[in-house]
Amino acid sequence: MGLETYEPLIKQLKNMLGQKERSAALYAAMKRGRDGRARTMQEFADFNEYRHGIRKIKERNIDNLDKLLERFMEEARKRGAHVYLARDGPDAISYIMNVVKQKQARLIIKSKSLTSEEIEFNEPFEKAGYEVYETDLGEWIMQVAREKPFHLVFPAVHKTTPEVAELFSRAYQKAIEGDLSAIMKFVRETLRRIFLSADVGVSGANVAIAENGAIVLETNEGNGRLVTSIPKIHIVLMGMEKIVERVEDAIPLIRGHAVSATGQRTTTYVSIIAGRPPLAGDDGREMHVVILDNGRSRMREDSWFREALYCIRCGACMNICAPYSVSGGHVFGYIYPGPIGIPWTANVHGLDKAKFAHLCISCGLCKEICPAEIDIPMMIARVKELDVEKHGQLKVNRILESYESYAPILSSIAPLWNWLMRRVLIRALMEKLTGIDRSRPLPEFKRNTFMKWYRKNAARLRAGGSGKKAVLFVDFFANYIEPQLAITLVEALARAGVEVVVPEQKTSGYPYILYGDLKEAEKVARYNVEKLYPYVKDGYDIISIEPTATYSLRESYPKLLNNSEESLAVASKTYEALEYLWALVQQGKIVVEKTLSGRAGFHIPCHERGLSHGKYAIALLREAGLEVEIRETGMCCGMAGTFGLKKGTLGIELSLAIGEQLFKQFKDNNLDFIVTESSVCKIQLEQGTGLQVFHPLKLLGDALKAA
Amino acid sequence: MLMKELESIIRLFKDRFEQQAGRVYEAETLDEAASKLSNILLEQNVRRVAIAGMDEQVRERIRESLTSVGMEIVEPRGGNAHETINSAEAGVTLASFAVADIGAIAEITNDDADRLVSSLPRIHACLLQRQNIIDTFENSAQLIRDALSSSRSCVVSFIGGPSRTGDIELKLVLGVHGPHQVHVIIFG
Repeated sequence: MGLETYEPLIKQLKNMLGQKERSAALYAAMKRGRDGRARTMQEFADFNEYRHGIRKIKERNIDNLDKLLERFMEEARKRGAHVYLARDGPDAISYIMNVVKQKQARLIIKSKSLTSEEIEFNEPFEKAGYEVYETDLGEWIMQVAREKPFHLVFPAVHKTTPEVAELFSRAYQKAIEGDLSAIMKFVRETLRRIFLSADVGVSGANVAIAENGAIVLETNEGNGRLVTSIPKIHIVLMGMEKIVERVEDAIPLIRGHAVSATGQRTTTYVSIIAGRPPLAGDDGREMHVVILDNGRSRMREDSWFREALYCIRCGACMNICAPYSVSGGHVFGYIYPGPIGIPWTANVHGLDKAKFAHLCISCGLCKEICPAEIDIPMMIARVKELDVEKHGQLKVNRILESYESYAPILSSIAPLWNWLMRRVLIRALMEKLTGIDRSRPLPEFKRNTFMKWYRKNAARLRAGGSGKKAVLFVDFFANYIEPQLAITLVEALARAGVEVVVPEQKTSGYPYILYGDLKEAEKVARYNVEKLYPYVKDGYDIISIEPTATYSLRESYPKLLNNSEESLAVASKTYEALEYLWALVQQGKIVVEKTLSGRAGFHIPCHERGLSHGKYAIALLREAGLEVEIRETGMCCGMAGTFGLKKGTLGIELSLAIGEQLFKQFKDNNLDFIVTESSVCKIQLEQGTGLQVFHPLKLLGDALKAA
Repeated sequence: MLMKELESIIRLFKDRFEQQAGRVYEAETLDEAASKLSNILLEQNVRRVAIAGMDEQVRERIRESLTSVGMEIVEPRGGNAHETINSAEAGVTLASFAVADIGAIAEITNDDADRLVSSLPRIHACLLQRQNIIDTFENSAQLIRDALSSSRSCVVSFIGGPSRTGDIELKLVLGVHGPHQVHVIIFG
C-alpha cells in the first residue's frame, strides 16, 4: 500500500514537536512578518486591490511567457550578455561549470538565490574544487551548518546567537564571542575579503524585464550589490517564470514582495541590472544569464499547477501556516519550505519529496495572504491526491473524508450512538478501529434533524411577503448536531418576510479537499451547484451557516468546476447567515433586542477569514448587548475540520501543539465565554481553554425580532 | 508642480527614509550642501573619501569642500578600483532621483565603480536635488526605462537606508555588508 511512506514524516514531526524553543523562535519570526505586513498594508489605498493587480500581471505574463522569453533573451544579448536556457539543474550546472573553468576562476560568491538551492548548486562546485561562499548572512550560516533553510526569508531563524558564534568559531578556528556585535564584526571582516577577491558572482533574479533585458535583484544586506559588481563574471541564475514584459509590471512585484515578506516598503536595495557595466573603465567583464526550466514548462501546461508560477517567493504563506509554525522548514519542506513549497517540490523535485503535503490542514489562509492570490490550498489538495493515488490513503483519512455520509444512519440511532460514544471502552475500541482519538469529545447527533422540522414547517416558511427569497444551505452541523441554529435562522428570516426553501442538497464535501480526494469533491460540488443554480436563476439568494460551507460554495466549487457559469452564479449569490441577517437589520426588517450581557472572546474560523472576518456576527452580538473582543494569533486554531480528531502525531498532537498559542490568548483574559461560527473550532477551543463556546446564532436566539 | 505639493513629497520622503534608519538634511544651495557634507563626515571622523562619477561642477564643489577640511579623496582607477574604494571610510554620490513613497534614493550608474562607492565604505553620503524627488515608485517607471535604454549597460539602484539584517534571532543589525549610515542632503 505504500503507507510506510508516511513514517519518516511522522517521525520528523514528532521530534520537532518536542523542540519548543525552536518553534518559539519560528513563531516569533512568522509573527514579525505578519505584523510588519499588516502595518505597511495601511499605507496602500487598498492592498487587496493591489494584490489583485499583481495577480493580473502574473497571469498575463505567464500566458505570454513564450514570447517574453524570446524577447528577454534577445534584449539581454543585445547588451552583450550570454544567455542560456537550461532544461534542468544538471544542464544549468554544466553550463556554469564550463564558464568558470574557462575563466580559471577559483572563488565563487553568491547572493541569496532560491533557484540555486533548487538545483543544489553548491555541492558540485565544491566537489570540483571551487570555493563557494553564500554571502547572505542567514544562507551563510546554513551553509556552514550544512543545513537547509528553516524559513524562506529567515533561513537561520532557529539558531540562537551563541549557537551561531560557536558554529563560526569551530568552522574558522577562531574564538568568537557569543554576542551579536562580535559575530557581525567577524562576518563583515571575513566576507569583505572574500568579496574583494572573488572571481565569479552568482545571483538570482527576483524579476526579469523583457523589454530591456534587465534583471531585478532585491536584497537588504547589500551583498547582492557586491556580488554583482566586483567579480569579473556575473552569472544570473533565474527561473523562467520570473520574466515580465515591462518595467510597469515589475514595480508592483517588487513592492508586493517586500510588503508581504517583512512589511518593508521595498527591500533596502533594489538593483535593476541591464548588461555588464565596466569597473573603473575595465570592460573585460561578462554577464551570463542562465534561465532555468526544470519542470516549469510542464507546470505551465498543468491546469492545477500553473498558478504556482505566479509565486514571487515572498514567504508570506509560511508566515501564516499553522502546521508550519510548529514543524519548521526542515519538516514542512524539502528545499522549498512552507505551503507554496508543496506544489513546487512535487513538480521540481518529485512527488516523493512532497510527502509533507499531508501536514497541510486546508485552512486556506495561505491563499488569503498571498500577494498573487494563488490558490495554494487547492494545489496542495492536488498533490495529496497524486500521493494518495500512488501510495494509498490512511484509513482514518478515508473514514473522515466521507464521515458526513454516515450522518443519516447515525442520526436515526442517535440515542444509542450518543450513549455508546460516552463509553470509554467503546471510544477506545473505536480509536483502534478508525483512528479517531478517544480523548476528543464528539458532538452528539440529534434524532430530530433540522430537515425533519423543516418538512413540517415548509409551507409556512414559503409565505414570504417582503419579496425576498432565500435558499438555506444547511450543511452537516446545523442539520444533525444543532438543528436549533438553523431553526433560529429561518424563523428570523420568516419574521422579516423572507421566503425560505431548503431543497435537496449534500453537505459541502470540503473534507474531500482536506484529504486530497478531488474527484469526490468535484462530484459533490457538481451535485450541489446543479441543485442550487435553478434557484439562483429564479432570483433566490443562498444562505449558509457554517463558514466552511459558505467558503466551499463561494471559493472552492468554482475552482473544482473550472469556473463554470453555474458555479460562479451560485458563488455570487451565496451569503453568510449573519451577513444576511445584518443586512435585514440595516434595512429595518429585523430589530435586535438587548438580551445579552457579559464579555465574550471572538474566534475567527479560518474559512471565515476568506469571507468577512466575522464582522457581521460581531456587529449583531454587540447590538444585542454583548461585549465582544477578537482574540487571535491570525492563524488556524489547529482543529482544521476533522484533522484534529485523529489519533497520533499527524492528528491531535499536531492539532493541540498548534492550538497552544491561541489558547493562551483566551485564557489570559477575563472572558465569560467564547463565540465562534465554526462547529469544529468549538471542539478545539472548549478542550484547549476550558471555556464554553457558543455559536452566535445560539446567543442571538430570540433577540432577533420582527420590526 | 505646485510648491506645496513638492513640499509634501519631500516631507514624505524624509519621514520614510528616516523611518528606515537613513538621515536626511536640507540645504538651500549646492555650496551649503557641500559644507554640510564635510561637517557630517568630519563628525564621523572620516579621513578618506571616495567620490562617484557625477556632474563635473557638483564634483568639484564637493572635492573643494572636503579637501579644505583636510580629507583625502581617493581616485579608483584600473584593476584595483574596488580595493581603493574599500580603503575609503565614506563614499559620496549624487542621486539621480528619489522616490518618496518607498523612501529611497535612486542612482543610475554606467560603471560599477560608482556602485561600489555607495556599497563598500562604512558611510554613504548622497546629494539629492530637491526637484528630483518624485512621489511614487510606480511613477518612476519611465525614468527607469529611459535610463536603461540610454546605454548598453546600466544599473539603476534604489537605496532605502543603511544595509540591514535580521538573520540572527530577528535582531535588527545595520551595516552588514554595506554602509552603516546613509546621509542624504537635499539641496536646490
